Amino acid sequence: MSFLVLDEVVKNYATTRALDRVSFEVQPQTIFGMLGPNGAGKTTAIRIITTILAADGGKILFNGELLSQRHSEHMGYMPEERGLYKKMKVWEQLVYLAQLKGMNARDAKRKVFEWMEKFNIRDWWNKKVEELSKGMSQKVQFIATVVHNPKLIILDEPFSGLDPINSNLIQDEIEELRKNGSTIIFSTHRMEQVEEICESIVLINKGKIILNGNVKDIRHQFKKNEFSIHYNGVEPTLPSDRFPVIRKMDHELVVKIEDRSSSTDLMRELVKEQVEVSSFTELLPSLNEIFIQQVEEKNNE
Amino acid sequence: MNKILLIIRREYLTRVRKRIFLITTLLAPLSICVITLLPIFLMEHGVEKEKIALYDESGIFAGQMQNKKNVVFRHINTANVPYDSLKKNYSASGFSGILRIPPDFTVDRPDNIEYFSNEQLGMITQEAIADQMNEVLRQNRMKEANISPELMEKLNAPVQIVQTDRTLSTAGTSMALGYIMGFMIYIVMLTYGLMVMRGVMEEKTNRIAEVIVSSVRPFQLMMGKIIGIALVGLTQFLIWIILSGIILSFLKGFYSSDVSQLQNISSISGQTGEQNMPEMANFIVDLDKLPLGLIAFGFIFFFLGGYLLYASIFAAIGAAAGEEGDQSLTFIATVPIILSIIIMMSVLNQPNSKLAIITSLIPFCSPVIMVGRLPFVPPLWQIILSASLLIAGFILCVWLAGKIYRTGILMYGKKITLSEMAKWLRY
Repeated sequence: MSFLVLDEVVKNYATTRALDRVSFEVQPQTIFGMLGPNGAGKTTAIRIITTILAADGGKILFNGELLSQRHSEHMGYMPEERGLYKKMKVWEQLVYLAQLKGMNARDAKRKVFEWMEKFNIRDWWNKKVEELSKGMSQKVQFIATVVHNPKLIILDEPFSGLDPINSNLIQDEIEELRKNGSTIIFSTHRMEQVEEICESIVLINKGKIILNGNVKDIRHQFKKNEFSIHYNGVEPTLPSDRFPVIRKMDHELVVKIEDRSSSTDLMRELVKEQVEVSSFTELLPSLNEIFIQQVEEKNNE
Repeated sequence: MNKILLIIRREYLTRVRKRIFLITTLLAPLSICVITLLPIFLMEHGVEKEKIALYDESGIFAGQMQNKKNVVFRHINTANVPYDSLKKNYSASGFSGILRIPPDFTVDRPDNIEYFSNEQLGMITQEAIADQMNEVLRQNRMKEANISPELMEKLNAPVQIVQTDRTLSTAGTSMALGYIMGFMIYIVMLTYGLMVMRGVMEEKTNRIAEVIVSSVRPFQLMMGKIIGIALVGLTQFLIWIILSGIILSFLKGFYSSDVSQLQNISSISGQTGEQNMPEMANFIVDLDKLPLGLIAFGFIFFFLGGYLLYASIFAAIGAAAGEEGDQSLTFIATVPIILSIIIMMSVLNQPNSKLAIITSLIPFCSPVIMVGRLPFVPPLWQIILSASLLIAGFILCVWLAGKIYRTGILMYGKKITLSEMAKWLRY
């Protein structure tokens, strides 16, 4: 059963339609990527899931139940525009936010200190937020998001402004949370990270879903039947009607396989030519390419 | 609702714990006391005794001038001391000046009295001297006209207007009290309203708002802040009430003889002998005559109602404006508040005029104006109508503000216009 289901969700602002019958499903204990250019409707979708905004139409199921305000206690949300109360002490702030998520004061305190221990910022517990460095306060923000052990964690551009060390730390932490049973949605522009961590994605543009599914499946769906061949020795010659060469580099050829042929045919051809092949790989388009291509295509329509 | 309590607690504690809270709470009443009481105190007690040499060549005033709190008269024997030598050494003998009544002075033309001194004669001293002399002259004229003191009293019997349900004599006190209370409401609505606005702006610019509203409803966040800050205000008021209680009992002790005298007079003759009593004592006596319970209740009610109404408007403005520096929308809330205090000034002079009645019904100015009128004890129906309209007014304002707040708090990097805010009401 899907952990989160959006079914034909619609959201209108005065004159614009921010979400137009958006449907997707998020499987439990997976990391789900929500992609799209600025203004596509990602933040609106996230705000609807986090019950900050109400949808104008459609329905949303959270763990099989119709989504309502009380589910917000089982969610942790780190918005793109995020911050903290500058004048509050770190631990007071974290305990306060945890209490707002329904934890009692004692549990909240215990958990806050556990996490601070884990992130090596235990010494900072009594400091005011305004005294923290940027990296420190990012750690505090992340703790605030996950301290109540939410079933669904929603991260909007979680890595923006993070240094590589914190970025890795948080990436590892996300993976661990997933293993421990959380489902994670994260929204970003950075495709290489999506490819690295997400199992499935949804691509939103102008309030509509234009792509939805497993990352591997999507890349295969958009493959152009291009193969990269590394070879030693003399450059092979291939029949250009069936295997046109797209690019030539130092001891590498990128070849497109036309519809009538298959990769087996290409290999057979290479063997026939007695080429010394050192590698033979199918080139799958990166999500970035697919993203740009899809968005441009839709915008031109 | 547990979460709104958490918000109220945070809003309250973070403010009350600040050092500035303690400082303003203690310093504000102290400075008000100093500003209002010091001049009165100085006028009555700070005056030095003036010793005046009475050089009476006419013999009319001999032995008749009485010493007063601040003026002491010494008769100079005109036969032994020549005027010129007195003029030379009056100062060495400890006199502030010489009051000379020439030999040709008559009761009918009392216009040639001289006062000699190289110091300026003070207003109060001059008045005291003139009062004394007039009294002496009056006695003399009565004697000349063969009018007995009994007849004089009959002739002078003043008209007495006794209002049956309340005493006219409290008008001055009512005005002072009304002014003080209206002004307090004005200050509180403005300062605490702005505090709410700053708090909302802080949450928006710090980007914490979105995290919070993913746990609680925006309306809870807004109301939590408004109520939390109201409690800060009430705490401050409580401290002030205790402090002013202490000050009042101190004053009562200070003026105790005057007060008991006044109370005796009014209990015997049913009228107050205000003329000779210090202002402060009058104020204290009159206070006891007013329906203080109604006034205190009304004050707290209109304070809360007015605060809720304006705080919600300020919260909406804070949510819409958000980004630092952009406070141009503040005028929407500040203008009606300032107008109320201006209108109140004229209402206090005519507490039952049409202007007074109408403006004390409008929720935007009733908190200041109705409270200003309370010590004049306006008809109950007006108080009840005004209170009901205020309740309706703040419910409407809180509701509308909640809608603007909800949208505004999540809107970044955009200059918000009034028409935009109107649009949010329909989201």
